[in-house]
Amino acid sequence: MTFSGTFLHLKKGIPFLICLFLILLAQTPSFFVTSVPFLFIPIFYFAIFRPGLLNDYAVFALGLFADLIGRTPIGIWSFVFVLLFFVIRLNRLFFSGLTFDKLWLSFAFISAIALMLRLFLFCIGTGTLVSGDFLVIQYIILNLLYPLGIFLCGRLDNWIEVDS
Amino acid sequence: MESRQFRLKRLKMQIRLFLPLLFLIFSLVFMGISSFENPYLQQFQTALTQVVTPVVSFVSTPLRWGDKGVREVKLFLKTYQENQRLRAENESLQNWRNIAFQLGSEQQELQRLLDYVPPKKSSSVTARVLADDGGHFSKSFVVSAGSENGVSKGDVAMTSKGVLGRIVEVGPSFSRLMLLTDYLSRVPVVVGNSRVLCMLSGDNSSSPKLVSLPEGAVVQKGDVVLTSGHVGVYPSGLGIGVVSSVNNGEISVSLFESDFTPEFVRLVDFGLNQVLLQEECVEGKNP
Repeated sequence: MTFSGTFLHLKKGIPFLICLFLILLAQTPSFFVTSVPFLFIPIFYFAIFRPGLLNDYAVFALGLFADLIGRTPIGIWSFVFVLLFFVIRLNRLFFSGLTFDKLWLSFAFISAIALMLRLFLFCIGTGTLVSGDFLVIQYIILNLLYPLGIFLCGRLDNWIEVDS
Repeated sequence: MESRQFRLKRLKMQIRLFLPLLFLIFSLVFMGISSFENPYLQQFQTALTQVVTPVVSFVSTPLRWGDKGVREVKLFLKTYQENQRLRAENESLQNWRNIAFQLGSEQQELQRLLDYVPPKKSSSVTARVLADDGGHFSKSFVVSAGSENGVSKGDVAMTSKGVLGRIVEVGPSFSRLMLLTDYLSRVPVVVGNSRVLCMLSGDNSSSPKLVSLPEGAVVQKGDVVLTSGHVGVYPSGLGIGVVSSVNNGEISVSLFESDFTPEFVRLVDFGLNQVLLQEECVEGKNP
C-alpha cells in the first residue's frame, strides 16, 4: 500500500476518533451543567451522507465505550446508537432529499425519541425510576448545537472526500 | 467464478443487513449481564478509567479555566451582596462559637465521667475533580488521588460545606466517588431534634429523598439531616442537609453541598472502611 493510500485510510478513521473525543468531552466536569449527547449529531450526519465513514461496528463500539466509562449499565448507549444509526441509514434516501430546516426538524424528532429511549432503558436496566427533567436541557442544547455540528461534519466530510 | 463472487457479495449484503439486529441483541444481552455485579467487569472498568482519566483531564483543562473564569466574574458581580451576607453570617457564627465552647467543655467533662472511648483520628487528602462520570444517569466523579496517595474504598468525600459522597472505586492514581445524589446511594441518617432514624436515598435529582421512616415519625421542613453512623460506612454526626419539603409522604432534602461541580474535594479516612473490606471478604471478593 502506498503512503497516500495509508494516509487516506487513516483519514477515514478520523470521524470515529472525533466521536471518541466527543464521548470523553461529555465526561469533563464542565459548566454546561449537563452532559449533552453530542454524538447524536455525527451519527445522524454520517448515517445519511456518508455511512461508509461510520459503520455499524464503529457505532456499536462507541456505544460500548460510552457505557463503560460512563458507569451506566453496559449496552444502553450501544443499543440507542445502533438503533439510531440503523433507522436513519434505512431512510437515508428520504433524509438526504430534505432541505436544511426539514432535516433539523427530523433531527429534533429523532433525538427526542433517542433521549427518551435511553431514559427508558436506564430505568429498566437499573430498576429505578429516574426523573427525566434534565432531558429537556440536554435536548435544547443538543438541538441548538445542531447547525454548528452539521457544519463541522460537512467540512470534515469534504476534507476526507477530496483525497478519495 | 462470477456466480461465486455474486453469492459472496449477496452474503455480505445479508450480513450487513442483519448486523444492526445482531448488535441490538448483543446490547440487550450486555444490559442483562451488567445488571449483575461482576468483579471482572469492574476491574476492566477501573483499568479503562485509569487509561482514560489523563486524557479527560487534558481535555477538560480549557473548560476548567472557562468554568473558573465564569465563577470569578459571577463572584465579582456579587461582591457587595456577598460582603453583606458574610457580615451577617460572621455575627451569627460568633454566637455559635460561644455556644460551641460551652458545649465543648461540657462534652469533655461528660466524656471523662463516662470513660468514653473516642473514635479514631481521621486523616485526609485533597484531590482535584477530573471527570464527571455518566452525566445525569450516574452521579459520580473521578478524582486525582488513588491508592498511591493513601485513598481507600469507603473514604468520605467532603467540601467545606458538608458531605459530598464516598469513594466506591480506587485505582493507583485515581478514585471514583459516588455522590449522595446517585441513584445507588443509600445513607443511614438521623433527622431533627427527635433523631428520627431513616435512610437518605439518592434518585439522581439534586434533592435526595428520605425513605424507610419508622411509623408515626414526624419530620418537618427545616429539620437538619445528619449521618447516623449505622452500618459503619459514614461516621455519625456529619452534616448532610436540611429537609426542604414534605409532600404526600415524599420528603426531600436540600444538601449543604449543593454545588455538584466542585474543583477540589477532601477525602477523609475515618478509619471505618474495614466494614466495606469485611463485606467484600464475605462476598468472596478480593479485599
